[in-house]
Amino acid sequence: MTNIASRVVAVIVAVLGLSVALIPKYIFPICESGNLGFFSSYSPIMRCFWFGRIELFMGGLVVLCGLTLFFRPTPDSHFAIGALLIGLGVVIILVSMNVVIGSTCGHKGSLCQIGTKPAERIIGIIIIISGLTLTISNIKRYKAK
Amino acid sequence: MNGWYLALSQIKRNPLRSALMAIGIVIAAAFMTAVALLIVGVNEGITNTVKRLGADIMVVPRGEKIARQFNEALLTGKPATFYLATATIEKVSRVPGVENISSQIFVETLTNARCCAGKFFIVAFDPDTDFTVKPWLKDEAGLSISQMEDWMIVGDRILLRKGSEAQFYGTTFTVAGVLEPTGTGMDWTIYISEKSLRKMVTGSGTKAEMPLRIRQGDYSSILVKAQAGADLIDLAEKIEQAAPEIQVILSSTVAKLARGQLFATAYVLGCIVAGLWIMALVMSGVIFSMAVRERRSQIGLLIAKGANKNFIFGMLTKESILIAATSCLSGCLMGLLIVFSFRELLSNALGASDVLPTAATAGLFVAAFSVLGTATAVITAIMPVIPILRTEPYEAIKQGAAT
Repeated sequence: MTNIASRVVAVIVAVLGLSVALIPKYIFPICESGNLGFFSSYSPIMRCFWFGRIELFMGGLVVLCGLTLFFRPTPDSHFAIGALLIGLGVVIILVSMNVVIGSTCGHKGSLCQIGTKPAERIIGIIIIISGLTLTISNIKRYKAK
Repeated sequence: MNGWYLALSQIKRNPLRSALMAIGIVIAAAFMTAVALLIVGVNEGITNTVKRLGADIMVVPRGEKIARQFNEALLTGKPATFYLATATIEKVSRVPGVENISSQIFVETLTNARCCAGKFFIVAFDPDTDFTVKPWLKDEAGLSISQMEDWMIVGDRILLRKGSEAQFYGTTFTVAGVLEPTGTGMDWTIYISEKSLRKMVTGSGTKAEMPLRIRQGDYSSILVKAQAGADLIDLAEKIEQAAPEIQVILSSTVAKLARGQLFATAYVLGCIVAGLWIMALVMSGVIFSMAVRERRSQIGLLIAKGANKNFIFGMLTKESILIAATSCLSGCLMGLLIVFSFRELLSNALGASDVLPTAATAGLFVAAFSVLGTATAVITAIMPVIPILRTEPYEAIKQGAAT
């Protein structure tokens, strides 16, 4: 993979990471701490809030991977970041499938269930594909080195 | 060394160019598939909704706006309020051919109701004559209805479960049952008894922020079940003649009205999709022809070494087929994935009961769009390449070396 192609992939990865981080906050907002939107007298911190926080953290890590790839487009970094992105993508999907922090939002029609989680899953899949592309396309160069 | 291997090598040699060619096609194919699936899915949803209405004929006050509001309330549960003249129910029940009637009264909750955020659609009905609501109950609520004073039955998508309480216009109601998911506006509706509604109206003057003004004998709609074998159009005419102040809505008319709204949106979306697809084809064609122009000396050398023009043409066609087929198929699958993932969100946004067609229809659309998309993309990519193939080998090598 040429340097230009690597940098294009790096930008795409960074944008994907930003999407993972920003979707629960701005695009499909999840319940914030102390705001349930229903039964206003009862305001606990919901798991949905922590789901948003974990996705923010994971998104930050993906952005970091993108930036590293942009400034250090070497075969080593391609291989390592590709593998890391596969892992991050899997974790993003697992979090959105309630495997990591348990079930969120009991109501199946809530925005968290019908908007945020599907969006995170789709981006998780694209991150895995980006990771696989980086790893596979550089495997020969890495072995030769 | 066959043409497919050469084509694959060319794609691998310049991944950025191949990706640029593919990306436009992927986006356009994804958008095209998603829009087509949405239109077909919403259309299928309307057909299912109409099949499940339960009533053959619905009677509401006369007026185009009322018909539209009623239609929306049936399909999406959006609150609608209008009332029939008091004597209408008597007139309708006397029409020959009517087997059963059930009346309903529509109420809209206040925006800041104590239970919930937003406005809710409340429908009051008579449990003794009802034939459209109770068949949808998840479990038998008959016993609790007879024991409770102010009960309510809620749609599947209302955030209340059996035993929960909520207050409307100062009257507290307890959930006696939850309906099965219907895929219609019933999922978003709260059903109470006519008796409780009258009590709520009386109490609203002192207990609620705003009094509820519904007179004794006011009804919003009358649901009619026709006798077996009755001609529904004939019966509708008879009902309208008996009570000129009303309009009759046949279940088939509900579908027609909903489809009218759908096709207006579908037309705009169709134009956008067509524009996007043309742009993607032009973009991929330009990129492909630029790439082939860069390789003119290579093509000239191949011809000079004995490769015939058909072989060169086949190699370039295979290259464009590989890119177009992969990108079209992945775009179509992405479109399917998007509609599948955001099924609920899109249903809510479009006010439809469902947006995903059956698996067979979806599969057929993905296959058809993949094949058609690939064919058009290959034709557009290859067209500008043909004049380059007509160039003499020496001329091609010279031009290629100059660029």
